[in-house]
Amino acid sequence: MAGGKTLVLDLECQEGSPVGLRISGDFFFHPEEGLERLESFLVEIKAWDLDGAEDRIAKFMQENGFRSVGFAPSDLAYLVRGLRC
Amino acid sequence: MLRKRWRVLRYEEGNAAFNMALDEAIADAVAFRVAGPTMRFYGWRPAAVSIGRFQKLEEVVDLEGCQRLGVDIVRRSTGGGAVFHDQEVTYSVICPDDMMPADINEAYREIGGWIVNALKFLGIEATFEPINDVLVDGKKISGSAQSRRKGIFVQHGTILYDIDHAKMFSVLKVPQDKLDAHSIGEPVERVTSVREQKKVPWEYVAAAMTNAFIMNREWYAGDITTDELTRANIIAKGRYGNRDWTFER
Repeated sequence: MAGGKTLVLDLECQEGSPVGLRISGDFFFHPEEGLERLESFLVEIKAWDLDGAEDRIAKFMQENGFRSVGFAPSDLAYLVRGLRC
Repeated sequence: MLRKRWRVLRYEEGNAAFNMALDEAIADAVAFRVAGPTMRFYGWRPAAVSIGRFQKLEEVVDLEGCQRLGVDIVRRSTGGGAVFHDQEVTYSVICPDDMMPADINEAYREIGGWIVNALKFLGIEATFEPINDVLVDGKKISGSAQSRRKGIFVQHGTILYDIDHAKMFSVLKVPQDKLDAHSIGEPVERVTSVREQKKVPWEYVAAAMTNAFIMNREWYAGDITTDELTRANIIAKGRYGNRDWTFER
């Protein structure tokens, strides 16, 4: 990412379908416990197939008071787009 | 903002799980208002690698190298990257979050300024580099990680006193994309230490940090309470010393 932080997405698949998503790296996320909720949200909305994922991610984070440092919703949307099992 | 008195704890060394657990126990005590804002300075025995809350352990740590060299491993509750704690001074700043800038980046800059001042006391010119680093001649000498929970601000970080490069890079794995991002060929070229910059005794570093951190602040020399110590031991056992937590990602 710009600024030197690393952001990695791992898609968990079962029988060819995505069932989970893991976000890892040396970024910061506040509160830390919120990252798992963001991961679940991305799976719930099938972010990899979604146009306008960036806005959905930004809105979700804002509504829940989540803040990321080292990556932006646009970075996450860019990486998640087109992820396939 | 500066009206609250800081409790300044004397330098102590502990193992990795205890060190992280004590920060959390102090944060709990501050949250329950049984302790005031606290600054802590500490070291790591045995040497340890701490990894960020969201890092994949096996991607950033050489587990075999750690085992061979007797280096502990702990997952922090804060984000950020992997750090090798050996010859350094680590600090924690723990306080109600209204004592720090609300903006995360500004808070990094604030405490980054304290670290720059500490290095200045040692005759080393350093600069704060967003997000969370302090650099000397473009090389990292200090890094920090911040958390805010239950209205409590916690930031911990280090100043490198000396580096055993061979040992450091026997226990840390540096991803290639990280090197590319910093336009540097070898990891060893990315870090520096107080000793590389100035031949001063270790005690000077701890003193310079303390002086820079308490500058223009009300403070007193305090102790860890029995309750904090007891809670830290429980947290160390249940979380930071727990393999499930360490291998969480």
